[in-house]
Amino acid sequence: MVVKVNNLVKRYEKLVALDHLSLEIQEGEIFGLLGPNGSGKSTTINCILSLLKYDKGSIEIFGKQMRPDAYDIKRDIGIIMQNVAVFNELTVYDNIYYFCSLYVKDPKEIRRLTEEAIEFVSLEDFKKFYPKKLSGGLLRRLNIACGIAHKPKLIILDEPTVAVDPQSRNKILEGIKKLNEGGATIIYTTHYMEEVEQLCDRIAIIDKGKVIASGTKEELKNMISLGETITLETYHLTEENIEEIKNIPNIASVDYNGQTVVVKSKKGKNNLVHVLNYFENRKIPMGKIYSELPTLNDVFLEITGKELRD
Amino acid sequence: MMLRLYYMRLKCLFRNKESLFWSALFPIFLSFVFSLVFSNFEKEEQFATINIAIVESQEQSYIIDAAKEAKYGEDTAMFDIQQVNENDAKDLLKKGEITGYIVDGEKPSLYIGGSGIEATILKSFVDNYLQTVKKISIVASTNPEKVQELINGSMKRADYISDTNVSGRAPNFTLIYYYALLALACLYGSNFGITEISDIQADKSAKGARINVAPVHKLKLLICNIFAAITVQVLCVLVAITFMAYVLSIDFGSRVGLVVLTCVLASICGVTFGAMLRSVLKKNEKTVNAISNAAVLILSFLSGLMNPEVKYMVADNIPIFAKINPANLITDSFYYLYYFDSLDRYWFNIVCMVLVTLVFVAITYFATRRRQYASI
Repeated sequence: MVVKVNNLVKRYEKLVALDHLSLEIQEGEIFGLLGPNGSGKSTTINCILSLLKYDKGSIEIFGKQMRPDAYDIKRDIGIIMQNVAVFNELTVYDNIYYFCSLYVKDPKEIRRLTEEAIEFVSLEDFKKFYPKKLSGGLLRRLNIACGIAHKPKLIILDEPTVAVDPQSRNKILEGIKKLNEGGATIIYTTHYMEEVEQLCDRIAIIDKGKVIASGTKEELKNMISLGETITLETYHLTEENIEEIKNIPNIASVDYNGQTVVVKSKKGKNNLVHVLNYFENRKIPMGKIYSELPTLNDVFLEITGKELRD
Repeated sequence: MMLRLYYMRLKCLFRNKESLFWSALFPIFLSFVFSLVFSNFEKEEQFATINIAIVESQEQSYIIDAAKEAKYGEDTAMFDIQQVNENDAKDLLKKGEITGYIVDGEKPSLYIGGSGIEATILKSFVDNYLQTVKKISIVASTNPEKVQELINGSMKRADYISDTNVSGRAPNFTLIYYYALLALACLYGSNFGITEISDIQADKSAKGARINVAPVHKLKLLICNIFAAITVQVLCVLVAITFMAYVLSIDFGSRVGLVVLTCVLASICGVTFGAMLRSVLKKNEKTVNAISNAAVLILSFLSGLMNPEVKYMVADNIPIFAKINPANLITDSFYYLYYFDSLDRYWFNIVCMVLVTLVFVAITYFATRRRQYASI
C-alpha cells in the first residue's frame, strides 16, 4: 500500500470539507480522484501532503505516518499543482534545476535529472526560455517537469490539464502513462471524466467531501442500473410513439426534441434491437443512430442526482 | 545545498525588476533630482554684490565711504556703486540696473525700486548708518572725549558667536535629504522580503506549496532566501550610495566602514520589515507591496525626506516614535557619522535599529514557523 487515508475529517469552521474520507492506493496504479469543483479533491491532496491540518483521521504513505517533517517520505513524492508553480525569473532549465535541488544533493546528479526531465516533457528547444515566453501548454509541461525531475515513487497531479489545449492535454496524459510505466504510483485529480476513463486503473468519486463510489471503471459502471443510451435522429415521432417506446421492456426514459430522441435503457440485453424493431415495425423514418455505454457522469448522476460538471 | 539554493535565489532576485527599481534606480533618480534642486538653492543662498547708485550733493556725508567699505565676510564687497546725478539714478532704477539709490546729504535718503533681499540689505545698511551718525552726534554733545573711541568702535565689525564643528565639517542642510533618501532605499528592501516570504509559504503561493512538500527544513530555506534578499538589497544600496558619492559628490564623511555597516544593517532592517508584513497580512502579494511602499514613504516622510522640520517635530513631540522609526534611525546614523566626533550616539542608534530588526525577525519567525496550514 502506497497511500492509506483513514477516516479523514477536515472542517473549515462550520463547513465540513472532508467527511470521514478513506482511500487506499496500491503501488504502481494510476488512481483517479474524480469530483466536481469544490468536492474536496484538492483538500484531500493537501492533507495527504501534510500541507493542511485536519481534524480527525490518519494518513500513511509508504507505510509510515505522514507528517510535515517526514522528509524521508517527502523525498519520494512529486507534486504537480493545479496552479503553475514556477519562478518567472528563472529559465526553464533553472526552474527544473532549482526544484530538483530541493531533493537531490549531488550537483552532477541534479544536472542529469534536469536534462532527463526536460527531455521527458519535450522542452529541449525551450531550455533558456523564461516562463512568460511559454504558451499555456508548454508552461504546464514545465510545471510537470519541476514536479517529477527527482524521479519520485509517488506522483500527485492536481488537475494538471485545466485550461490546456487538446494537443497539450494528450501529451500530458501520455507523459503520465509513461511515468506510471516507469514504476511511479500516480494520484490524479480531475473533474474531466474522459481523462479518468482514459488514464486511471481505479477511481474514487468524491462529492461533498465523501467518497461516494470507488473501484475500477467497470466496477463503477456496474454499480448503476443504467444500461446503454440510444440516440436516434427522427422527425416523425408522436406523443403516442413516445409513450409506446417507454413501454418497451428495460427502457428507463425517453426524451424527444423534434429532431432526436434519446432513449435510456436499464441494464439488460438487446435493448438497442428492441428500440430499432419498434421503429421498423411502425415504419418511422430514422437518420443517424448512436449507442453509448454508461459513462462515469451517468454513475455520478445516478448516485448524486446531479451532473459531474454542475 | 544551502549555497546552491542561495545562488538560485540570487538569480531570481536579480531578475526581479520591480524590486530592483525601488531599491536602486528610484533612489538614484531621486538623488539626481535632489542634486538639481539643491544646486539652485545654493546659488540663491550666496549673497551677490548689490548694484546701487549714490547721488552726490553739496553737503556730503560719510555714507559713500561707508558703502565702499561694506563687505560680506572678508572679501566680497557688499555694494557696486555708481556715482551719478539724480536723473540718471532714476533711469537706472527704472531699468532695474540698480536695486536703489542714495541721495547724499546731511541726512541721506534712500530710494528703492521694490522689495526683496537685496532691497532689505540696502535699507538695513542705510538705517544702520543713520543710527550710528545719530549716536555719534549724541555722544559728541554729551561726552566729546569719547567720540573718537566711538567712531573707531563703530568701524569695527565683530562676531560674538563663532561656529565651530569638531569634525571640521561645515553644516549642510541638504545632507539630511540624502540621508533620508538612503534610509528610503534601505527600507525598500521590504519588497525583497515580501517576495521571499511569498515564495516559501504554502498559503501564499503555489510555489510555496511546492517548496513545502520538498524534504528541506523550512528554516534553512528561509535563512537562504532572506540572506539572498539582504545580499541583493545591500548591493542596490551600495550602488545608490556610490552614485551619490562619486557622481553627485555627496559627502558621506571619512568613516567608510561604518557607512557600509549602516547600509548593511539598514538593509537587513528593510528586508525583515517586508518579510514581517507579508507574513502577518492576509492579502495578496501586490497589495502587501503597495502597503509596504506606502508605509516606507510615510516613515521616510517622518524622518525628514520631504521636509527636515517634520523630523525635528517628531523628535520633539513623539521621541519614542523617533527611536523606533527605522527610517529615522537610519537617517540619524548617517548624520551622526558625518557630524559627530564621538560615536556614542551612533552606536546607541545602531542598537535601537538592531532591536527594531529583531522585533521584525521575531514576528516573521512566529508567523511563518508553522508547517501546516488551516487553509490554503
